[in-house]
This record gives sequence, C-alpha cells and structure tokens, in this order.
Amino acid sequence: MGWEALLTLAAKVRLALHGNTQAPGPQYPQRMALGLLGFARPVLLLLSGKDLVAHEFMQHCHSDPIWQQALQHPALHTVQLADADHTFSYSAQWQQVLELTLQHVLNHTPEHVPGTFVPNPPRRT
Amino acid sequence: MPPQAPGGAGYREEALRIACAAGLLQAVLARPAQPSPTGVLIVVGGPQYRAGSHRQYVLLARALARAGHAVLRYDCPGRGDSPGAPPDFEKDFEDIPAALAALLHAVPALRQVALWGLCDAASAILLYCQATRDPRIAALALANPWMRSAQSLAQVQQRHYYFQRLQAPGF
Repeated sequence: MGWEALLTLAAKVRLALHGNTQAPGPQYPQRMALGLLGFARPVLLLLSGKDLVAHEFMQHCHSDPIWQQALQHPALHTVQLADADHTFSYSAQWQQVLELTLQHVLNHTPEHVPGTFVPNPPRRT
Repeated sequence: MPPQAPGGAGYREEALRIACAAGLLQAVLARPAQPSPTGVLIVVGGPQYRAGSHRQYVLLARALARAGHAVLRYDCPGRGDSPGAPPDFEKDFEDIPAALAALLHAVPALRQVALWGLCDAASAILLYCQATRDPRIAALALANPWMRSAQSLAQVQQRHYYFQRLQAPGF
C-alpha cells in the first residue's frame, strides 16, 4: 500500500515538473482571468484552506502573469477560510459564507446605473 | 399560476421551469415581498443539483430572500430534475443566460443580478463574463474556482496531500 503510494507520488512529481505535453487543451484559465479583468463591479472570492481545488487555483495564480494581474482587481475581496473544506460543509462555515455574501456582494453593490439595463441576454462574442 | 411553497418571513418560494436548448430546467425562485433591484442567480455546477451540497443553496436562497433579494437556483442540464447532458463548463454555459432571463422575467422589479457559484460554476461565471460582458451583472461571488490541469493537480497533490500521507502513522 505504502509502496504503491510512493510510486504514484513519483509519477506526480514527474508530471508536476514537466507537465503533460499531450493534453494542452483550451486555455480556459486565461479566459477566466480576462472575465475577471473585464468586470468592473464587486467580486467576492472565497478560498477554503482544506481544499485541493482552492490550492490548485492559487498555485495557478502564482505561476500565471494574467492571474497575478487579475488578483489586483480593485473591487476584488478575497477571503481565505482556513478551516473550510471544498463545500463549506460545517454549518458555521456556511453561515460565514452567507454573511460574506450579504456584506461584500449585496450590501456593497452599487445602485443600478440608469440606462445600462438590457432586457434581453447579450449575444456571446 | 406556478406551484408555490409557503416560504418564510417576507418571502415565498415558487417552482419554475426554464426554457433552454437542453429542455426545461427545473428551478426554484425565492421571491421577497418587497424585492430589491438586485437579485441573485445561484449557478449550480458540477455534481450538484438545486439544493446544493448539504442543502446549502436552499439556506443561502432563503437567507438572501429574507434580506430582500430575489434568488433563483436551478438544476443545470443533466442534473437533478433537468433533462439533457451535463454541459462542458469550458465551452457551454447556455444555462446561465437562460436562467438570468427567467429570473428577470419572473421579478420585473429587478434591474441587476449578482452571480454566485462554487467550483466549476465559479469558473463558468467568469467564462460567461468574458464571453458576454453582460452589463446586467452587478457582482460576483466565486467560491473555490475550478482551474485544473494535470500538472497543477500533480503539484498540489505533491505539496498538500502526499506530504500528509507520508506523515500519517498508518502509512
């Protein structure tokens, strides 16, 4: 059991160092960053301390210049919840998420600017 | 007249069906008695349905509705009670504009909408913003955005998972 884990770890180390050149895929992380950079209104970013997905996100941000720029978004409020798991499964953690949503998303959202309301969804570019 | 649940103090809940290319998406609208101009769309991603993990989207929607915000949560295609195949969040987020249109239509007092998403729904929200620059979006709440590559997963597992395994007494 332990040796299998060590062999898997060795494979992960190789992948972490050299990447997977066979599956470059579409660069959706860069499009995500562009979405954030182009959005001029309040953004709340919640990151759990006990979550590999959140760790991957931060790992990527540290190595990607466009994400380093995106994290400088002037209306971005980032909160790291050290004890939370991926789905904020404890009631107290979810209560914190709820309060942060009210405080930083809804209470800080500026009044609608007249003339900008579009009744129909815009077309995708 | 849509089916209605009793709801709570200052709001009521309604079942909605949202027309989408995949079919009719099942949704629940929490409608405050006096809705604020800012509504909330909970974009439900990944292997979840409209109640969310641990019923958290139910709790979130009701709490926000008590604070005066209309909230819509829905099963994306292929999840819960919605037909179709689950969308690929990188390429296909047609459920977001369909749900936005349904929310704005159902609550005419709304003038803008905040988007709330966890994991790949958070990623889909940013991709939607990048693709549309939708001016109706008032704010974003993004929880643990999904941004995975084989390399990033390996790096993180190495750092945060295997280190703990190696330290575990049972290893």
